[in-house]
Amino acid sequence: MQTCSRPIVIIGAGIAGASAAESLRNEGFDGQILMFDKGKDMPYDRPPLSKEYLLEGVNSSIMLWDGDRHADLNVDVELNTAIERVDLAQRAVIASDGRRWPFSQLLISSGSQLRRLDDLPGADLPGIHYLKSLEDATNLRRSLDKAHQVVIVGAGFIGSEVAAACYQMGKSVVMVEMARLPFQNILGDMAARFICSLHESRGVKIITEERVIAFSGTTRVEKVITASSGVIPSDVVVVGTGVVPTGPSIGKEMSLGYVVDEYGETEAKGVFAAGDNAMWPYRGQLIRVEHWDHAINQGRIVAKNMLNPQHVPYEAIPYFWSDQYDTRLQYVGHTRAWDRVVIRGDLAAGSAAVFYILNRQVVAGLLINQPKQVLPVRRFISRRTLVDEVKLGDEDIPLNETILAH
Amino acid sequence: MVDNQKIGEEFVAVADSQSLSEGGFISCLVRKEPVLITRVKEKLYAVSGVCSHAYSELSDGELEGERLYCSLHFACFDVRTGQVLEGPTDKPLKTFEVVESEGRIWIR
Repeated sequence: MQTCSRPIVIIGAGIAGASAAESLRNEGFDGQILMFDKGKDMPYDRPPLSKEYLLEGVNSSIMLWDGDRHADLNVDVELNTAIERVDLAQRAVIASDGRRWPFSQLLISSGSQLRRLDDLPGADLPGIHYLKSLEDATNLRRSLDKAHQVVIVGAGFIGSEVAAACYQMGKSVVMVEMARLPFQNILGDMAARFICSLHESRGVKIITEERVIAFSGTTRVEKVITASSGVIPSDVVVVGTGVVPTGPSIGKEMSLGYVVDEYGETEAKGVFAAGDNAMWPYRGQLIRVEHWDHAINQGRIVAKNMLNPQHVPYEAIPYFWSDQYDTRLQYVGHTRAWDRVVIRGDLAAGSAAVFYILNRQVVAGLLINQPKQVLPVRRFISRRTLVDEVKLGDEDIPLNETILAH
Repeated sequence: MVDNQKIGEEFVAVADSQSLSEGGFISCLVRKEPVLITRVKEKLYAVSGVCSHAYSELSDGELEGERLYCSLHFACFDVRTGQVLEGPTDKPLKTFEVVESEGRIWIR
């Protein structure tokens, strides 16, 4: 092990950082672990923030580290501390107020930050919300109490989940989306239309190919103004227009994320990245994944490689899930390109497995209310199974009989 | 799910022996608690039917030998002991006593 007098430093107390710290201890590391976060909270779970938390409110199970968990793990956590720079030569991290801390090895798990609409007229009106942190969710929840009309800018996964939660709270919901069809780029036409139908069948309106250009109101937001001169009444606005990687400079351009190798290590030796801000190699491509499962698993693998250099490659199949109304969506794999989409099941009835196929291999799968199919589909992807596309589309033919070769 | 039939003070009959074949699993409720029963190498094991990590019914998962995978976040448990083998949790599954007698499976 490297110089034991210097701590392992973790920047960011999110899911990747917490997972790495826990794994370091599980793997037997007994040196100092020093964790920084610019926020005020110990590690907490994010997926509920756009779902149960909005509906049910404070629930202690949202805290990943509650009570004395950090003390039990013997992790020193410095909250409200933004690390701005990394001094690679001296091997130290430097906070925005100039304080410095040395490190033996470093994990940058500072995640991502919101794309904001701050430049739009009226963007600072009360009632306009973003959703990333526990604090954001608490504020949004409070604001929703008195709201009737909710406008959601961006019909991505966060926007859709918030729309579903608001509908369940009895609000009238309108979503405004720039694309022609939300989710089309990642899920294709049919599955994207299915997700839209979940909203529209409940009276949640989706305005597509539309851009928000301003907000107006006297003391609070009252209207959302769109590019085609639409005026949408709103008591609360939730902006969900995506995130960008964030973290301190390590001397290289990182606006697209920190490039890491299969062990999670950057070009700078002993400096790792994991979670939302890591650009990692997946099947010959560098990708960035903004999901919970990836953050947990990459954090864990990095911890192992910190203690035992280049020991365990990160070979995860990306995975995420989304709960909207009574529908559970689970997506395994990663692709933006496919030559065929095969639907197995009944999409209209809300129960189907959607296979994304490239060169006869399943490269990704979307499971709609079919949790039993997740593991088999994941296995197809990891084994690069060649499938018979016609048989695959026939639910009466067992999945195993659709295999041509591994 | 199988109907419970309570007999005696503690053990509860939850299924007919023949309803659980080698390498398979069945789920049932024991005193309102979901339980998953498996038969691996001719032996019966019973663990909590809900993943110790996040709410997900383990009967949606898969059994590979002694390894039980959850379908939500892919936690993997040893059905013999409930111990975590991989995945996003360190918390083992609760285990239950299980016996086979008179052609039925009994849980305590």
